[in-house]
Amino acid sequence: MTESAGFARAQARRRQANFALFLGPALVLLACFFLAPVIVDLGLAFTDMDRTLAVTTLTLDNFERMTSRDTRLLASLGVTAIFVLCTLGIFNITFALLLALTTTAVPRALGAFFRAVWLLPRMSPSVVYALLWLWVVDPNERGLLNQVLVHVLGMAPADLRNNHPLVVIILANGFIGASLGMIIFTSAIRSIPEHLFHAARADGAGALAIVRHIVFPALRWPISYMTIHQTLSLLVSFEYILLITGGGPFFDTTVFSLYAYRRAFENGQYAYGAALSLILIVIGVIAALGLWRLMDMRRLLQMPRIEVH
Amino acid sequence: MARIELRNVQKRWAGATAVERIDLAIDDGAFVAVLGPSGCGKTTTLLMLAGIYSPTSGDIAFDGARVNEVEARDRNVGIVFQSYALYPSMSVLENILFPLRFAKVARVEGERRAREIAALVRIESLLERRPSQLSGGQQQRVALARALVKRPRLLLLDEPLSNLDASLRLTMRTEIRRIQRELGVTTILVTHDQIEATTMADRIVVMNAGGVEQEGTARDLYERPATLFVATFVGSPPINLFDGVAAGNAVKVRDATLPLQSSAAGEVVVGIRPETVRANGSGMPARIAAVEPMGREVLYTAECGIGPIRFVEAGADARLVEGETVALDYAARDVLLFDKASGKRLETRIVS
Amino acid sequence: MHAPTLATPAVHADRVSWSALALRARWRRIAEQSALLVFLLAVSIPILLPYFWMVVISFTARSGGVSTRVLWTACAVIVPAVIVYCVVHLATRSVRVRLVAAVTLLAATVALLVALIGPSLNFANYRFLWRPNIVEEIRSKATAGGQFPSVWIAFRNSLALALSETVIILAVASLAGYYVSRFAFRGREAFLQGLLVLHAFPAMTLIIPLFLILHWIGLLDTIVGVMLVLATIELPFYVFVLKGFFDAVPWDIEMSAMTDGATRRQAFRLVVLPQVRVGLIAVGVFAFIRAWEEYIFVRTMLIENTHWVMSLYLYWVSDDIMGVDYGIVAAVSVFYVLPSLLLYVFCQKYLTQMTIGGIRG
Repeated sequence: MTESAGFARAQARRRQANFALFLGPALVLLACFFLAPVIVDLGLAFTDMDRTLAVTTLTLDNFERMTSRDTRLLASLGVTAIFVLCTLGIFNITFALLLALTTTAVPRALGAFFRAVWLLPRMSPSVVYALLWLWVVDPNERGLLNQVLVHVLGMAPADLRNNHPLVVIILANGFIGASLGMIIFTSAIRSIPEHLFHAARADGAGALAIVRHIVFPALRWPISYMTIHQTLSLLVSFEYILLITGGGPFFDTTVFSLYAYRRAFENGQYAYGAALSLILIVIGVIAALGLWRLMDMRRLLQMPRIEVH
Repeated sequence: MARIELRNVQKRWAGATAVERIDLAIDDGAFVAVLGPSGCGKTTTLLMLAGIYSPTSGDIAFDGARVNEVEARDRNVGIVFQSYALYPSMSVLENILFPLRFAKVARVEGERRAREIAALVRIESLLERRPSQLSGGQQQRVALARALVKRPRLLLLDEPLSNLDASLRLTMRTEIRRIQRELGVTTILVTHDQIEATTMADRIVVMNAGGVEQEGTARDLYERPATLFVATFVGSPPINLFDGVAAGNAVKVRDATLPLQSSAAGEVVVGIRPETVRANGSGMPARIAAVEPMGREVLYTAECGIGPIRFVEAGADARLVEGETVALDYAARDVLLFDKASGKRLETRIVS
Repeated sequence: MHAPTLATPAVHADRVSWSALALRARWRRIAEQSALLVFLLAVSIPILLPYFWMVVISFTARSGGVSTRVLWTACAVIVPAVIVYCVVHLATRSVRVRLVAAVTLLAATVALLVALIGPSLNFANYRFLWRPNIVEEIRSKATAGGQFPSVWIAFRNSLALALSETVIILAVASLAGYYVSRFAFRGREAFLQGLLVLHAFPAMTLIIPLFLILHWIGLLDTIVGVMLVLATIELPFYVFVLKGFFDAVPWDIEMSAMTDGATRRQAFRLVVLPQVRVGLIAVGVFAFIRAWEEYIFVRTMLIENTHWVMSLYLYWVSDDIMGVDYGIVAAVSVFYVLPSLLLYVFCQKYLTQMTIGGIRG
């Protein structure tokens, strides 16, 4: 009797030790640098922390400012709306679909080559990619775009960065965004059973009819997933905007997430930035939960088959 | 309808040859079965006829005109895939109507034809369902309806019965035969099951490793197989084979001598069909090694002088038992002789 | 009777002209494939051109402006060669002809390029690799950001950051991935769901509180601090990826190790871990590349210029001397991109293996 009781105790100890050894490091890291920041942000939003990094009072000032006094905020909301809708609608979904459809309609190796080209922006470091954009839209004669405009089309050189900064950031983020959708949609198209295409061709369908009746029904789920995923991604990311226009001129291209960042790190208004970020965090949590529901949990939760430690 | 010809058709993929060489002519309105093991190139041939694949060399002709370059959608060929390939996002009716969209048939007229065809294949009650809600047999009939609704000049069936259970197989066999007779459409059926081929088609083409082994009626293939492969593939239970040597006026198999004069001397393979062997008292001594009741007949395996030999007896009950000694008799004129190296059948003459 | 309505296709069909159909099919195919090719080339050029330009600038520009003569000359040689090859490729199916065409075109292109632009090429812009005070030399004064460090300091920092982050991620994620894949524990389902939510959650929103947390624990402006933050943010994704690899290891191997007398830890180390080698390499390479390219977090959390990583170095160099010397900026860019590009190219087959439940990341 005592032997098995002793064995059970040793088992229990080992189980706890295993838990600590295997899962411990991950839990500690996640708690410190993923969960703690959420709580910190929550708290920070109600303080008055500024450049001094000191908290003196608890206050609702930040929220009051957000809702009534901040005109820049309203402008940035407008910018965000235009930016997200245009980038998503034109590039991340539509152009991605177009790329997926066209690269799967040409011979395999060729399609892979073009997909690799369109992955180049996403795979280069953001600094380099932003640098290239700056050179392309350079307002002097040097800029590649102006070279084409002036020498090929005979138009006057353009200064996109100052006059149409939104166009620049939409294009820049769009090129990056299209590539992820392209990959996902391509893999969805490839998984359509080939005999469906054969049957459609024998039935008399041309290329467009095949796209409409065979390909699109199979893409419904990936398109919805990508739409949500990319909307979220566009709402919170500002890296390329920061690098290319800095959010300017002035605040003309400052989307909401960048606005929070600038208020915190350029103006030293950490508490206000935290309060603004809180909105994004809440949106992020809701969207993440929504995406989670869309995924196939059953496959991820295969039950383990060994019970001994 | 169309007369179909394949002239010296070959299909090569990067690396492997799917179809080595095919020469075939199929008359208008005929029902032909292409019979062969998996991987022999029969499905590839079917898809070349449909226009999905293009021959690497050789010609495919409809009514004498070369159609290699004509796209699948212009050929008016109906094809039923082994997996049925029903469009999952459409209802049964929409599936059947699909080809009519491209034939520029008015919606009203199209629906009328679709319902007519649905009645022909007996699926009128299923028109609003989705493919995922249908059983295998029902899906197959929808696929058939979809292939037939556009009044094809050629109907292609890829292993139509292989995914069905036994009783359904029997029903669909008769159904397809009936529909083909009624419509008179040139039909080519591809299968690995000889029963399917012999019971449904007028003529059978036996394929193996990318080439045609023999073409003819079921009876031709059975009684006068051109090669060893055909003799083994056609006929159930499978033919008994023995290695032997043909010399002069006789064929020697182990210690036994068969009074057959072969048209060519040398190493041969002797084939004796189980149905031609009788255990009726006189002949080769043999000992029963296995008894397998098959329902309608009993299959015996016996050890005799020339090797293990299978034979059948009608009836549900086994007359003989394991270990029993019997005398096996067979007619010399039923014996088939094949050249061992090439597999071709040799002519024989009985030596008295 | 069905026969009259369903049998025999309409009479006119018998008069179908097969040769006309064949011709139409041929033109259709050519038109479709050409249209696709033209479209794909048209949208790919805006992407390829700037990268090519950057490489060209790095090898040609002298201080002052940057001319695009070399760029357009090179394009004028390369583009026709590519077009000629495309035409050949579409016109013939013979592998030999295509090969011969490719080789001759390649030789001709290289020869022309060497002749036309060879003299303009130089390595002058790459002198930042061996002249540490390059910015000061160009500006002839100390810049607003203080003394520029040598590029090798930034390179060393980048390497340290990327390597240490990769090691941490591999260690933590493989332990955690194995545990959630193979052990039953209370809260397993909740943990996995939580990880999934975290993975979908945008970590960029936490940049402000993360900055403060690092400040409070004294790790602000250190490689260690940034490394921990970056590792944690990516952790959910990598745990899922590795879990997928562990899921694919058959249970029999572990069971037989345990009947052979191993504890589960030993089974993990000796038997299971070697089986997921491919997954570990994939995760390692991917994590390294991500850390190498990271910008926003290092910009926020690294301040001293001796702590700069390559992305910051490039940013400040370009910020300072872009208007003056494109060449050096381009050269620094090329130098920065090279390691991750090489890793992408050589480890491609590993990178394509990473999925979470079928959705590639």
